This record gives sequence, structure tokens and C-alpha cells, in this order.
Amino acid sequence: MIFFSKSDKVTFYSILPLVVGILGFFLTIGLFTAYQALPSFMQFGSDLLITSIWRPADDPHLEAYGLAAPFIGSLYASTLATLIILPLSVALTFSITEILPRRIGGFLRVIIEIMGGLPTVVYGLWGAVVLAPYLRDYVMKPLHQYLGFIPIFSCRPITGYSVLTASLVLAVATTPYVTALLIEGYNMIPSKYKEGILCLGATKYEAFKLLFGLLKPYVIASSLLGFSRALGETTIVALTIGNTMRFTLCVFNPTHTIPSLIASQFESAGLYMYALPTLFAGGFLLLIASSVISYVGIKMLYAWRERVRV
Amino acid sequence: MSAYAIEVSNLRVRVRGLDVLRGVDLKVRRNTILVIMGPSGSGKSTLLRTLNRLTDFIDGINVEGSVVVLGRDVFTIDPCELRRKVVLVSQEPNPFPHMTIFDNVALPAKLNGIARNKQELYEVVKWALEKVMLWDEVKNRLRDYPHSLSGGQRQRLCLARALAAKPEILLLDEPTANIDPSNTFKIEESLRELREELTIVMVTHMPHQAVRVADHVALLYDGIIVEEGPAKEVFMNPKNDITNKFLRGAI
Ligand SMILES: Nc1ncnc2c1ncn2[C@@H]1O[C@H](COP(=O)(O)OP(=O)(O)O)[C@@H](O)[C@H]1O
Ligand SMILES: [Mg+2]
Repeated sequence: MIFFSKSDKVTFYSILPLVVGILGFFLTIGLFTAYQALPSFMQFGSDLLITSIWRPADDPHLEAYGLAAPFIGSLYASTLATLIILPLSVALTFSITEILPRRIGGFLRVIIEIMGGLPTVVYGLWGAVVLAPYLRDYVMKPLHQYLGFIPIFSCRPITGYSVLTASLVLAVATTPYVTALLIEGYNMIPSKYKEGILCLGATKYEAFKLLFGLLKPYVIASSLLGFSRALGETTIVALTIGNTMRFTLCVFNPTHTIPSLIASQFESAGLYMYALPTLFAGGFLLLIASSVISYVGIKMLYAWRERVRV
Repeated sequence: MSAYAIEVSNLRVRVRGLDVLRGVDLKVRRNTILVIMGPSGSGKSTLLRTLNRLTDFIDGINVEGSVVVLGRDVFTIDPCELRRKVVLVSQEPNPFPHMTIFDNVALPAKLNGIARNKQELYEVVKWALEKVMLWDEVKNRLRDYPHSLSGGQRQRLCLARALAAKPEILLLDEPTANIDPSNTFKIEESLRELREELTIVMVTHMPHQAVRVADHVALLYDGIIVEEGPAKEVFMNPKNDITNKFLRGAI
């Protein structure tokens, strides 16, 4: 190879297995999931994507599955969670980097990093036992009573296990992660730009606003990463979303997500012919969605770097 | 109104135990250009930054003495308000990379509430870009981003951005340190014209630049002003030995 010197060539060939290995692993996971899902796709075709049903049966002819509700439920819950995460983590970033005294800010940052690493089952249990009944009595009921004409508040809250509860707990659990990303990004902004805006007499708030504008694609990419995380989160959702094969826009209703469906059905799925392949089909859909979202985020980040050259 | 835009007396600055400025006295007349010369590390940037309280952002700094700018004690007024009237251009060009050329210049005008509508904003931007002789070079690409400009053009863009704040005092910290002679010439030319409208304090470590633009010069050495006066006098007859050495390039 003409581009490499001899020693570079050695380096190149020694890292080659790693590169090929990673690519291979990505492909293997994708293909394995697709292969396992194949029987279900063949049997149910497009019904798998447009119906919402989970009906296992000993006689394979009587089995019927459709993943529309959990798939849309996944996207819906993650979207709601992201909409909550974004303002929260921006506000936290502003407080920690610009407003709070350095020591308190630093302490808060450590707490946030720790919270980001907590096992999500802790959040899930809290959400199921404490938050769900509280939300039902003090938030959902009033919202339904006074703003029931808005479609997302139009259904009567019953158990408290719902899209809203799941999204909120997801948001609480994921905000530390996104905040940590934002703080890191904010601190990466070269100091000359910070000085530039302060030299013009901007207030802290104006300066933060401008610098965050500079960081915008990074913020969007971080949100997409947060979204991806929420999309894959299992325990929290399984404990709080109510696990029901039905999707409605109303946030007080229970539903399923793909991970909560897999978690709740995996054990018995082996007993039926098409149950396990259908769970794999759900995993495959999630894998595609997550890959596309990450790809978009990364592309945005690259395009921004090219234009901005920070 | 005082004839002086800036009056500094007995200014002492310490940064974490290090004496950076050790009793500086300085007066700058309105509508003149003062050039502060001195070798690296003599405290020029620090002195400049006390004038609009950018020193507030340095950890462990301790400032004593009196700094009166535009007739007011800088330590008793709102620092943001101060910085809107006393704008600093730093050594490294730093136009905001995510904003267009136009928006970069328009930003301070918006922050300071200088323009009331789009037309006025356009006029301010045009005026500022003309002042730095950049208008003809960028008028057809105001919607481009600053990375399409050369380093020297970017620095002139920053100067235009500072001017669009309509400051009364302009502080420049080695504004031409990283740029080519032709852009340096344009900046120096702009500064001489701008003197009609505002007061300028420029820092440089290059004596020949001071010769070209200064009305007054001051030589800062190790945190003390060792000599100051009208530019001609100081250059023709330096009274201090250190000045002599500095002008000969010996320190
Ligand atoms: N933020 C700071 N932290 C620590 N030391 C500083 C800081 N700013 C300036 N100093 C010290 O003050 C002295 C003068 O610095 P400066 O004002 O930048 O000089 P000049 O601009 O003339 O090169 C130097 O010794 C420098 O190390
Ligand atoms: Mg300096």
C-alpha cells in the first residue's frame, strides 16, 4: 500500500482485526436479530406493524401478533421524556456552569454524575410505588378535569400506570446523563468565544444563550442520544407504563413499549411458535430506529463541525 | 465632563500572590490614542482588562486603587453596562462561528438596543464594516459564515463588531499580533480615523506599531509605568533607560 510507510503498515494490519471485529459484530447483531425475527415477519407480514395484538396459542394457527402499539408507544414515551429532559438539563447546565458558586456547582455536578449511574430499577421502583399514585391523584385527575378537551388529557386516569408516569421517570433517570453531556460540551467551547461575548457587555444569561447557540447541534445530538437511551430503557418502563397492548394519544392510558413487552413476555415466549420470533421482530424494529436516530445525530454533529470549525 | 476618558491612580493588581501591577497611574484624554507598550508579561493585558472589569473573571485576583472611566468609578457601576461602553477586542480573532458575518456585527447593536428596526440595523452594520474597510470585501456575502474569511479579515470583523456596540472607549489587546501586514495596515488606518469618534487604548509589544498610531505612549515594565508622554517626545527623547532599551529592541 503506497500511502503507508513500513511501520505504519504494521500498525495498520495490527489494528485491522479490531476494525473488522467491530463492523462484524454490528452486522452480526443486526443479522442475528433479523434472522430470528424472520418466521414472524413471514407469518404475519405487514400485520405485525399495523395491528396491536398479543395472542399466543398452543395451536400456531391461532397465534396472532402485532407490534404497532408497543412500537409507537416506545417512540411516544421517549419523545415525551426527551421533551422533559431538554429544558431540565439546559437549566441545570446553566446553573452549574454560570450561576452557582463553583463549589456548590461542582458538588451538584458530582451528584448528577452519580445519579446518571444509578441502577434504573431504583428509579423504576420509586416511579411505580411513589410517583404513579401521586401523579394520578394530584396531577392527572385535575388535568383531566380541567383540560380534558385536549386529546392528550382526554382519558380518565385509573391506575396511574401510564405513558405519562413512564415518561416522567424516564426523564428523571436520563436527565443526569444528558446534563453531563451538555456540561462537557459547554466547557469545550473555546474560551475566546466566551470572552468575545462578555467583552460586548452581555449578561450571564445573554452569554449563555449565545454560547448555547454555538453548541446547538451538539445539544440536538445529546438529546438524540438521550432519546436513544430512553428508547432502550426496560426496567423503568416495565414497572410504570401499565403493560397493555393498546396505544392511544392520551398520556393517562397504559400502553407497552418494545422493551417492556420483551421483558414481560420473554419467559413464556418459548412455549409458542411465533412469540419469540415476534419479540425479536420488536427488537429488530428498535435496532433500526435507534441506529437511524444515532446516525442522524452524528451526521448533524459532523456537518456542524465542518461549518463552525470550533 | 472631565477631559479624560480614563483616570487610573495607584492601581495594584495581584493574582494569587503574584504582583502583576504595582501602582499604576494613567490618564487618557478623550479622542486620543494611547498605546501601552512593554515586553511580554509586563502586565499590559491585565491593565487593559481592569478598565472594563474583565478582570472579574480571573480567579484569585485582587484589585486595589482607583479606576475612573467616563467620569465614574468602575467598581461601583454595573460591569455589563460598563463593558457596553468600553469594548475590548482581543488578540485572537473570535467572530462567533455559528453566526453569519452580518449577524456577528449586528449582535452588539441588538444587545445595546442601538437599532430600532431592520433598516437601522443594516445601517449600523454597514457603518461598522465600512469603518474597518471590510464592507467592499464582504458586502456580497453578508450571509456567509466567518470561516470563509482570512485571519486578518476576521480580526477586522471583530473590530467592526466592537464598533457596532457604539462604545465610547475601545480597548485593543495586540489586535494585529497574528495577522499579515496589509490587514495590519488597514486596522491602523481605521484606528486613526476612529479617534474622531472615540477614545482608544491599544496594547502592543511592537514599538514600530506605536510609532505609526499613537498620540500618547506609555511603557509598562514589570507592573510599573516607567515612562509616558506624547508619542513624538518619547520616541525622540526617551528619558528612561528601560524605554531606551525597549525601543532599541534590547528587551
Ligand atoms: N489569569 C491569570 N492567572 C495567573 N496569572 C496571570 C493571569 N493573568 C495574568 N497573569 C500573570 O500576570 C503577569 C502579566 O500578564 P499579562 O497582563 O498577560 O502581561 P502582558 O499582556 O504584558 O504579556 C504574567 O506574569 C502572568 O503570568
Ligand atoms: Mg497580553
